[in-house]
Amino acid sequence: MMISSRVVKAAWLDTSNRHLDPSVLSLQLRRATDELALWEWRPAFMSREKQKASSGSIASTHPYTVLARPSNALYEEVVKIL
Amino acid sequence: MASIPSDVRNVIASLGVRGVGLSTLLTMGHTESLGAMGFPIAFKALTEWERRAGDAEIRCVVPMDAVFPLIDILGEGARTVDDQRRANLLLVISRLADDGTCSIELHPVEVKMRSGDKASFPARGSQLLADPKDHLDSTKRDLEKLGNNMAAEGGRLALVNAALGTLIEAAFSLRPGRQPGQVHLETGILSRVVAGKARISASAETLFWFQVDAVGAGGGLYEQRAGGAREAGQFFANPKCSNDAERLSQVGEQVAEIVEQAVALEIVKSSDEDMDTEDRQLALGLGDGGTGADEETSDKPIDAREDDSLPSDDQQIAEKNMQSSDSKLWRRNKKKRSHLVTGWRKLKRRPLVSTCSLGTVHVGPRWSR
Repeated sequence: MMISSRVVKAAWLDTSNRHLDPSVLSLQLRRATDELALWEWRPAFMSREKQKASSGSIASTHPYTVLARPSNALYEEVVKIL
Repeated sequence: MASIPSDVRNVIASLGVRGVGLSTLLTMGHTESLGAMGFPIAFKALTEWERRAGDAEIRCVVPMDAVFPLIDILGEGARTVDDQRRANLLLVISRLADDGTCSIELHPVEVKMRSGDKASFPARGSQLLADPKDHLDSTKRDLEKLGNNMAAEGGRLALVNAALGTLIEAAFSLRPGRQPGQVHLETGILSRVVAGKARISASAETLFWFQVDAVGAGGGLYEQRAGGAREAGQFFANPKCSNDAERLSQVGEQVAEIVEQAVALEIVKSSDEDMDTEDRQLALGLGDGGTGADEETSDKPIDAREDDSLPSDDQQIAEKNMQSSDSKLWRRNKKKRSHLVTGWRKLKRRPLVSTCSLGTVHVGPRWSR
């Protein structure tokens, strides 16, 4: 899998995907030089409906992954704790 | 920030490798940075527990945020859990059985990371532990409901089975030490799950409490407290534990023990017992009944159970004399079943395809009962 230069410039990246698990994606991002990190992912078959309306909502939904560039404030706080 | 230290980058990246998105940190009820530190420590502490899996068993740690929408749906009928008030991790234990079925055990884990404003871990019964207990209890109720719902359906709803298969497959994909040799085991478990041959159970919960600069009652850097059926197993640790390999190994052993003890305290009967009872009730034409079943029949494979002979007169009398609470449970389950069946009936009008990568699983009218 290649992380393109267009991805590197993005602060947020929302990507639909199939059979791309977040572990593989995060490993690749760790090797890349940019600071994008996994923000959120949802596997397929997961309704985003509220429970009240979901009695018949077990339906195939597209998986998606959101990548984001963590803020400097987060990094600075982690440095303090480490 | 001019340059980001590699260890900081590794902490953030390690969250993603385990499927924890940064958005999850916002739901931890404390600062993002503390949350970011709590998860990696929890994952390190659970590594030994994962490693102890038996030959026919796979142990996984799944971030609850990612999979909760499905749990919420499959646990329909339980009180809705607020995004901010649920456990952080779900431990999934999948095990092949010799009778052609498999078992799925679900175990909620709450992770708390606190700053060093206190010198000691919270005492047993402390008010500080009330909030995480609430998170665990609410999640446990959902998992209990999920187990009961699946048991009530008896593996007959193909679409629901496929949805559960997606959950298990997501769990498999998040194991950092995934071995190529385990593909056969993974495939075996997934195929039984989507075929409705899985017994689902939920177990008592576990709390991980990490506190900077804190020590236990005896001055140690970690402390464990065994749980019970109504109380979470608790593990307290100073984050320094994760910096030393030897101490981390000790922590891993302790955590593995406390989780295994908690998992042993199963709180939902395995579905084959319930399915067996239901089948017998349907055969007997009984409107009410409980969820209990004799151990002799519960060990039989699902396919074989459909041909079980009818119970004896004594058993029929015993079933008719079930307690009223069991009767209420049966009625609730009956209502729940009608919801799921209604959903299924809507969906079976068109063929659907699940994305379970076991192979594309086609679910449609020709699979309906």
